[in-house]
Amino acid sequence: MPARSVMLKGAAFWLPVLALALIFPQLPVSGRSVHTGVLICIYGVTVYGLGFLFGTAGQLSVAHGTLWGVGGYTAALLTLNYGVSFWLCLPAAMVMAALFAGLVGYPSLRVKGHYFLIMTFAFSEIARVVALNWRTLTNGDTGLVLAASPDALGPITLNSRVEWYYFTLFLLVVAIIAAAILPRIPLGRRLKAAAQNEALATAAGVNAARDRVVAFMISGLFAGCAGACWAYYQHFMNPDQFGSGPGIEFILMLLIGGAQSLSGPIIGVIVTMLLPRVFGFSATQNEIALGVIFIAIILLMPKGVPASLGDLLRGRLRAKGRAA
Amino acid sequence: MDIWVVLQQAFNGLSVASIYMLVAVGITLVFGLTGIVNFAHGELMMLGAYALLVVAPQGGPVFVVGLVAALVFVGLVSFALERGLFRYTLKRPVNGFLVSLGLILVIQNILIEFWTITQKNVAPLFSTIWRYGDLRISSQRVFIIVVTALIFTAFGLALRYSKVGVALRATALDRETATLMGIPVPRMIMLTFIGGGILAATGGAFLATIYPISPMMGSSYVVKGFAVAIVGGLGNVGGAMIAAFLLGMAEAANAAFGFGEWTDAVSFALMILMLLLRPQGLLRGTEAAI
Repeated sequence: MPARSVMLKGAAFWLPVLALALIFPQLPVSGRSVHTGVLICIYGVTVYGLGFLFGTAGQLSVAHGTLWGVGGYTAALLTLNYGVSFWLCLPAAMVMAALFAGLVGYPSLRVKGHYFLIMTFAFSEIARVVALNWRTLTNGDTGLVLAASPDALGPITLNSRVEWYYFTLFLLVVAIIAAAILPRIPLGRRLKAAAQNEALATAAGVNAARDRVVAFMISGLFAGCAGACWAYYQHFMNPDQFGSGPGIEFILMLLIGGAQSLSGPIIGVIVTMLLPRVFGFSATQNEIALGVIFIAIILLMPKGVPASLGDLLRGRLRAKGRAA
Repeated sequence: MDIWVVLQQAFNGLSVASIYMLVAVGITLVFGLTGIVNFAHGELMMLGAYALLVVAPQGGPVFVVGLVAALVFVGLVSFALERGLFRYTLKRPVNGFLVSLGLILVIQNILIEFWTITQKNVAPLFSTIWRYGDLRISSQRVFIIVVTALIFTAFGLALRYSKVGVALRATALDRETATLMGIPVPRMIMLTFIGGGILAATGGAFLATIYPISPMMGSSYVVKGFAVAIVGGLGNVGGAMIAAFLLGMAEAANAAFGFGEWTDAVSFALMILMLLLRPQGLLRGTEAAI
């Protein structure tokens, strides 16, 4: 497909979506809906980071549920202990999450095989236990309370839900644009080449292991950013909020929507977030339902629901065309 | 440091290492045969522990009934999971990994739904505690160590000499050639899932008699299991046994030096060290299972 028609197609999808997202808080919706909107934007940022890692580098990580915890704790601790402003905490949280990603990624991505998956899972569990036990730093399972809202940055204030909504929506848009650009820069092209045929890419001079570590660190930036926002928006941070549980949920959001298209992750996040509200499930019932849906999707629609439905429809149309 | 503290920690470490071994064997064998990274293995362990809690919470001789119930139950669950789900992921092992993630959510939350998140206790089979100087030897832990040693002796002999054992090792070495030699590979894989599940359930039942259990514990034990599997060499049962012993001792040493709250980080540090220094594991991985 020529580049221009791709762009036109993209614009036809994204512009109405963006317009709807922008007017959403002005519609007669409840405060709780706006709250869900903020959560969708925050989760979305992380899931787009994960989507870049999986879609381009071909690596899945359970660690994103913990990397965003690293971001959240970094922001909370900097603010509580040193009085650092939110606007400095945000980049600090991103850098910190990327550093932890490097720490996990460096030993495990050099080695071929499934070590990376195992290490991201192990990291998630261990980090949660450490956060529980290292009371002097993290305050254990009580967690940290961040009572203050971020201070104003020029005209930007983040005191109300609606302001948070617009701010996180802005971050989400940036994340989506970044996820669209990253596969097209040389790093992204090298990653794709290595994911398709590592021997060939290496022979052509690609340092696949190093590129993958860099990709993991970049996706850590997304998670750290989301984590800092989460900590400030929720006003608290405790070890129950991260670990392998959220990590699994992020993977689930990504794969429900499908990682190969740019719109997949956000569709997955929205569907996953709205599910408990539609069915009125309790938290545990919701997790069970998500687990079952997830397993069904992996086995029946490995490309994600939208793409698989699209295939199904096209198949039907073709069959009809043949019949006629 | 007191010699009694060292001995006490070494003894406790040995009993915990037994449980790691029981969990790790299923992980490492399933990986060796199918390439599936099965994170839900720890949940099978917790299913075993909760089955024991339902049947025999009061301990004593009833424990044996509870243990058998746990083994049968988890064996059936493993059978159902392999036939119903994992069988369809053999062509793309990463799908098996994803399915196991979904299973964690499902099993963990079913346990929470029925038994809440609070910790539960199961009384042990033996409650006598022997004392030598400052050393306290719990008879239940001795029981765990002895039974695990017996299980693994029998398991090692079966793997080495029995027909099924040879077929299993052949399948781990090379699935295609094994098929050509007339080994029913799908059945071997099914047996591995069931056997691994039963061993994990044994570990879970043992665990429940020495520590309080909660639905969230599966993930932390599956991490230990993978640490053991990686350090021993993925797919290598002998390596896993050595590594489980090492991990138990390293954790005990860590606790003896007074860093008890960091115990769970030991397994992670060992894994990183191993990946940096000797990624194929202590003994070589899948190519040389036992």
